[in-house]
Amino acid sequence: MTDATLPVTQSRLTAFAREYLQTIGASVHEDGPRWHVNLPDYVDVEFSNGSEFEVVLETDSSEQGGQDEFVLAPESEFAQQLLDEAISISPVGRLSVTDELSGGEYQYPDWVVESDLQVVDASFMPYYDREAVFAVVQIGVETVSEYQTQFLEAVSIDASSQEELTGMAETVLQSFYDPKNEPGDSDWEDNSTESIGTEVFEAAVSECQQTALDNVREAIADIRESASRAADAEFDEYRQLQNQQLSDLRDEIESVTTRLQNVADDVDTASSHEDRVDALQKREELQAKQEELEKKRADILESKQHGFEDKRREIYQRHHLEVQTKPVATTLVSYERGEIELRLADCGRNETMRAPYAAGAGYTDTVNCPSCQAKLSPDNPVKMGVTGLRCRKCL
Amino acid sequence: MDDEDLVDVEIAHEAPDDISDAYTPEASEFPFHRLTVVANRLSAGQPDTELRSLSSVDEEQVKLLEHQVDAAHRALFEMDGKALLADEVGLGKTIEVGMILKEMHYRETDDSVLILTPAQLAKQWQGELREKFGLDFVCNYDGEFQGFDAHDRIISSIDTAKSDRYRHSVLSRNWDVLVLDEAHYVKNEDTDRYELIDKLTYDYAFFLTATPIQNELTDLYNIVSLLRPGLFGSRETFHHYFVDNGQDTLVNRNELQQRLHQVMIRNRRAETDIDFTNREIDTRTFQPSNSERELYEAVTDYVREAYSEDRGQKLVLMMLQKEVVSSPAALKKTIRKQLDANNELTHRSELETILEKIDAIETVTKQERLFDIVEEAREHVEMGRVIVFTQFRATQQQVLESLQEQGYTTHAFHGGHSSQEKENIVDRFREEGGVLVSTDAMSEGRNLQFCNIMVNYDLPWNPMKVEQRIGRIHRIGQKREVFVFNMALEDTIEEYVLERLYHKIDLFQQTVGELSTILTRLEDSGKGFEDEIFERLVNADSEANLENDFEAMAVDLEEQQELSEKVENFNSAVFENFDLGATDD
Repeated sequence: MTDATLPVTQSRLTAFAREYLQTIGASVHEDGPRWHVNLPDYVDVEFSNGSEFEVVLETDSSEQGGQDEFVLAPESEFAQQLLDEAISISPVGRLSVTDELSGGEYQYPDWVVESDLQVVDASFMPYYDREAVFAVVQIGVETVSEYQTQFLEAVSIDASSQEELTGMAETVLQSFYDPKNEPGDSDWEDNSTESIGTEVFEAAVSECQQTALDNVREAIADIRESASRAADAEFDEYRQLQNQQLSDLRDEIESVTTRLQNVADDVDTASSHEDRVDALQKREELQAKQEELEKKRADILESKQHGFEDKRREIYQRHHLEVQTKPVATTLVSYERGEIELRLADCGRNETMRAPYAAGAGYTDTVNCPSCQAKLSPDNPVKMGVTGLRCRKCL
Repeated sequence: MDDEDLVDVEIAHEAPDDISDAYTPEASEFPFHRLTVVANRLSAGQPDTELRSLSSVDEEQVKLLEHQVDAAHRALFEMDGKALLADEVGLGKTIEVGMILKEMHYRETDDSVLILTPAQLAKQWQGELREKFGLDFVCNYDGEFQGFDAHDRIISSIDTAKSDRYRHSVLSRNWDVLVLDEAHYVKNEDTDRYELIDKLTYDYAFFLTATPIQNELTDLYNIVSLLRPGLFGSRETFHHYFVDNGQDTLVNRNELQQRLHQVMIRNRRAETDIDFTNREIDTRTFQPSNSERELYEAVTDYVREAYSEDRGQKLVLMMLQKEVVSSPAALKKTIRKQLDANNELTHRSELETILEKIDAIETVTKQERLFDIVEEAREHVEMGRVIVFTQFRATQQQVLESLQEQGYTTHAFHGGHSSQEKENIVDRFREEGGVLVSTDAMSEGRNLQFCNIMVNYDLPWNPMKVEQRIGRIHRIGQKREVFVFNMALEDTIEEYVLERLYHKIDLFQQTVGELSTILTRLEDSGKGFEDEIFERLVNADSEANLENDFEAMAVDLEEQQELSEKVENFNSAVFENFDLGATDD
């Protein structure tokens, strides 16, 4: 799970706004917490009609933007306008990840990290270029209860094999998409002549959506449990209400029955024809009432016998989760694949080992023990044997 | 949870049409694309979760502690504005709520706020929020209070809110913020109080209690379910899963902690850096002069008789009884007022007799003895700073004059001053030293840690007021030992209150906050403290009965105190090893 959200602090917002204004061609003259901004004629922005305006960086709660003056603060209207404009500017981009980006800092395989061996030297040997798709995917989870959540996941997959490149999403986010860390031109320059067709690209983006969803499954499972508990509590309330109603109905039926008996007596003892007709009419009304109540009670009892299944289904259905994924930005990444050569040492002895590796993504494939061919893993890390490298299992 | 107990999940993957349309195999301008990705990241991120109003809190008025800031932050930003603040007693839950409300005010998310408290604490809440955080609320005990639909920021006793008169208007509003103090009083789902909270509509809620569990673990379920319905599922599920059959211990503690962590914050005293200095109590009782004794007896007889014959307002009679032990000057003022205001008084002669007895007093014993204390202070304490508290302006005036005659530097502080004047007075007292003679108008929120000696010249019958007086000087930031002198005349109501009640519950050594727990327990059983004292005084037909009555009240108080302690200990035991104060990160 690679969370792509960034906490909105004043400094991040300031860095973003500065870069945004400069990128669209504005000149920004900074005077402490006030910026004087001049937009070129060809730039049209939503938030201002004029080409000159002031930006006031958040300082004080009472600060209100005047005419042609905008307050830049987390949650300020101006900040939101800038973000909205930037979001729609260019949802697709390209960049290149090379070995240089790591500056010699490699992502070692976990079966090395967990071993007792020391990496005394490492070098990456790129063999060929590949294309990957990096996507930022929005995942919204909605329920009727209060546990509505939104995730923003970053994922990377190889465009042709569609396998996830777990380490790459984090590398790309940190190296290229941190507002406080503007990459130089050479860092991202895409020299690759290769490209991928639209169909392959679309398939890769879809795969990214699915992968992003898989990565937050655990969190969604928690939300599902919370929503289920809320549904359970509501259903429980309903059940109690029905039991109460049953008890009320029983009392009411008893009361109607007593009144019916009394009316029956009235029929028998009526002194005039008129009284008798009145009593008969009353009896009819009460019988109808009794039947109605009995039916109501029978209906509830029947539902109860079935555990109020319909109601339960209805409540649970209302509390169901709607999960929606949407890619909001995608970067086509050209990257180098090859092998990493690791010189591993223990007590003065050292041996060399190679592993499939990709720049920005780390090791990309399984490696087996040179001796017993068992798969190396954090639980079965590499070890130094008498005759060379081995694994925990075969030592 | 089994699969059949879970709600369904519908998944939809939105087709990436926009993205596909924007895709071209040619290179795009990366700087623009970078801005799009960054903007998405920021847009989906949580807004700045700094407490931005903190800088505008006056540090002179309130020293914010780390655990309080953390609690306010978590309640607002991690719990989505619905939290149970369950710090142990004395760690400043009111301050935490003050910070929360201040921040919400800053962010303009507090158009309507309702604070429900036990009756005893309503005014104290009002004072603290005003003095410490600059937040103005109308209290249901204020003259200007015109109902729950007439104001947007209200502090009310919960019982007033649930009364037939107001219930409808309280429930018909949609409140932005609800604060519920001593939330354990809504633990029982069969009560009117619970029903009121259950039916209230609000967007944000903060419940406060040091003891979420009073009797059984279901209490916790009820309180939490009011805040976050469904967090624990149904009652049966909660019992089945978290409570052992014996009803007194929790099972599946990790799971419970995980869920409680979403809604409850509990700081423990041992984990905070709160450290109070020692408090030394010196209670001095004095033999009244014969003329003072005569006056006291005359007034007491008058009050008893007037009350039994129902010929006097209870409040006025109560005041006379308090004034007679405060000062002859205070008493004289009230008696004069009575005589002047009512020409048809049937008991005019008795009042005139009392006036004569007042005039017969040549030396006021307490006043004379006060000189001893301030003299000791002048010799031993920096700049001889002493605060003398009295309930009455007339007493204040008399004390000031006598001190001035003796050559002491004096300062007067009372409710008649404007806020600026009050500030100036405190500043002068800090700079010049001497004796500050104050009424209880000082009790609301002003901090005087630079002084460490206070005198209770007379004693309020409401122990909360005593606690507030002490709280002015004995608070976080006080670096020296604090001395509290209590003055009382022998064999008077004041001595009874002091010796039989206040010392019995160790009032003068209580941790801040403990007292409110005891008193709200008492209040919950339908008794008011001042009324209790007065009723016992006027209804006792002999000295022995009076003593017995006060003894009974003391026993009652002690029981409440023991109960409070038990409940507090029980909660500590239940929540032991619960790491509710920190995040999981």
